[in-house]
Amino acid sequence: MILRRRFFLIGILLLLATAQRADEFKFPLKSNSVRFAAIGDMGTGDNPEFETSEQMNEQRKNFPFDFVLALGDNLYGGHSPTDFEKKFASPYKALLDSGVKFYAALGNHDDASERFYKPFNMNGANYYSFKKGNVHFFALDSNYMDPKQLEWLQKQLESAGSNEWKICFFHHPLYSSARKHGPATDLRLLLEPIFVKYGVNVVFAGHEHVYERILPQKGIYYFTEGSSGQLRAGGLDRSDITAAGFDTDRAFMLVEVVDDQMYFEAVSRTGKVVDSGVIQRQQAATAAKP
Amino acid sequence: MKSPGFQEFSDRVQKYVQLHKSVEGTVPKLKATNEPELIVAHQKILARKIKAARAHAKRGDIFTPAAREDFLKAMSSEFQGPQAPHAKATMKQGALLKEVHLHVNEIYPESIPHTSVPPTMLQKIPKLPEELAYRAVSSDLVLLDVKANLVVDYLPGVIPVEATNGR
Repeated sequence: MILRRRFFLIGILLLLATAQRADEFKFPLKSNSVRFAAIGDMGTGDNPEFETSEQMNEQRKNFPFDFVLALGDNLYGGHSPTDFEKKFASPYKALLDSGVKFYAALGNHDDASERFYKPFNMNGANYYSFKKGNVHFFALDSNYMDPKQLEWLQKQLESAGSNEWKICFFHHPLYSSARKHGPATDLRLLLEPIFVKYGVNVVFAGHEHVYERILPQKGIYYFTEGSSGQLRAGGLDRSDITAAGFDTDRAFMLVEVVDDQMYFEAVSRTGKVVDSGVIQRQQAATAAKP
Repeated sequence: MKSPGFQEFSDRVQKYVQLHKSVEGTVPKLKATNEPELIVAHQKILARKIKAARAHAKRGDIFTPAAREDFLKAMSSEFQGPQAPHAKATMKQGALLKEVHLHVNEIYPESIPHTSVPPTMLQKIPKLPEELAYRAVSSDLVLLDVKANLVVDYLPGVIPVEATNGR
């Protein structure tokens, strides 16, 4: 009984400490910083997608992000013109109207024709790269990691500046503790050595309908954000590589890169901050500090 | 140096791509657009024209018997060798909920996700031009025209059944 009470007290103290840390976390909002959001597995056209995008609008009042990484499964089911409208243009209308750009990666529910949809900024390519400030982004097609794409990725990473952040985003997570699909280990065999060799700092993925931050693996930070429309409630089996997770509501991420620091928050549909922290570029051995 | 089966497959792929390109040349070029109507219409027209140009296409036209032997060998080594657990993990990523029956020269059903062929496997089988991609659907290896979303050909039963369990 006494032991149980002690555990209870420790639990309360831990909760308070976490809450305090979340309160203490603040984005620097520097004028020259790179600010973006990340969403995944959102294209359902259902209410939760709309509600999550409304929360993104709400957050943007205080955290004016310029663009959004869409981590795949941008449009579930059909790909008729109505689907493009109902599952993307309509839910994100306010963001699109205010000039926020979306950069999409293809998920396993996406049709390759989405490459030509201008608001996804893929310019007809399955995989592509772009730069924002001191950050180089690489959007990959994890549905089809053929030799041609691998070669392209290596060349792109090789030519990226050594003082730049290198952020890759694609659909299938290389590390995951979610129970539905688990990690894409076959893909990891091919990509991880390249990421390590060329100093990729951060990887964003979706596919699993939960949020998870993974402890750095070989110096690389991995995030899964696949719950911006879909949700697999209770779908996360926290493991020894889980740094933080959230699987009880929809979520999205907010990120600010200032020089060598990357500040991040994971925010729920209701606006609750469920994870936050700061990552130091190329500090491979150091875990994200909450 | 490709094996004879893979060489035959690649030759047939080249012929298909020639046909694809000649048909695509008759359709207005698709550029990035804000209008999904144009994207959908382009895909539909391209598919309709290719279907008409290959009206007599049948299973095995591209995955010939000799090619089948080579793909079977490659699949077998992938799903039984040291890579097997990883390849099987990839198959689980697709998560098909029901049995799917594909037909040559028909549209790839939009209701099913695009399941991945294990990427380590993609490094071992013949490379495809940008018009085409491999897909794994149930135990079948599918050759898909990605621009027209058409099933060009498929090899039934080459992916070991145990790899597709748990989808």
